[in-house]
Amino acid sequence: MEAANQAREGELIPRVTSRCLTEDLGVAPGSVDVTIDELANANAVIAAFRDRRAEMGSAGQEPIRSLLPEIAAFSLHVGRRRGATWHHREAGVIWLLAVGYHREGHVDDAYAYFERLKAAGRLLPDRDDMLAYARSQARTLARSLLNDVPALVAAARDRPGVIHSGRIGGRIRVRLVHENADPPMFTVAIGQRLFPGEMEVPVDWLVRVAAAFLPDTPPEKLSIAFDLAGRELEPDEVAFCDFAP
Amino acid sequence: MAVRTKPVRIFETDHAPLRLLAELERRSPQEVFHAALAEYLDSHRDELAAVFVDTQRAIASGDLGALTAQLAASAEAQADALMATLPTGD
Repeated sequence: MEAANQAREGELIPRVTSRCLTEDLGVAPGSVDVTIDELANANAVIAAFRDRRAEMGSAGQEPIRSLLPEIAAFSLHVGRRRGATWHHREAGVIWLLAVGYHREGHVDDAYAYFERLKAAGRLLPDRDDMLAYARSQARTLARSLLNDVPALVAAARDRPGVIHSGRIGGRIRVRLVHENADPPMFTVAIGQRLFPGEMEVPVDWLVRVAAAFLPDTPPEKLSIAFDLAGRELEPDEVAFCDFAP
Repeated sequence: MAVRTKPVRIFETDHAPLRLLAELERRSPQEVFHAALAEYLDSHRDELAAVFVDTQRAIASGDLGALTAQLAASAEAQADALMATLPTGD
């Protein structure tokens, strides 16, 4: 399942666990690589999950008390159906963990079902979910490196001396500047925090983002910069520079 | 201009050898660490260069598939890092 649109400011990245997709929503195995918008078009619970949680940047309002204190999940109401959603803060992801029908006092009630999944260790995303998520982010980032970086570089060249900002794939903060010195110099500063969330940008991604901004720089000519047009770098930024072509 | 520093955690077992090397060379532990890091970076320059050049090639040819595969190379490590952040008790 791939985020069709990169996360915008304040949004969370929506993901549905593979177990929830197949067991609770009856979606065919393999749909983990389908975009959230395609899934939402086919399923009302996923549409509500995307609209009320991911796009609103909201973890939820009604905690599912039976899952506390280990899991701070929230209830999503869609008609008689209930979803359990959980904000994975470190990853910047809102997960749809499970879906069931609300039948008060019934053994098959959604909340009792959520508790059983938790007790069985099957409620939270598993490693395959994490791997699918990481791979989906690679696709999003690759598209952005191809499509967004040239526009950012062109904008910086059009307004020399002005620091431009952007987010690659909605996740990696960059600032760049083209200085009309003799010779002209181009510098890109790359933040090391992945947005949304609290994880660090993988080191190989840092190097690949730098390569996208400096497509003609031989690696032996790549230099680390310690400022951005004379201004201090942010504490989490690493900057690279080269003479501009 | 004063050199800015940040605290770095090292393994406890590395502290004694680091101090020993620093005293032998009449340098500060920070200087020894900085020199060791510079040597390490230099000895791994080829790996860094390979990542850099592979990316440039994929971008120059507009090869979305190749670029995606390159960026997915660290997916396993990312998945492990994310798993480590899951709450326990599930």
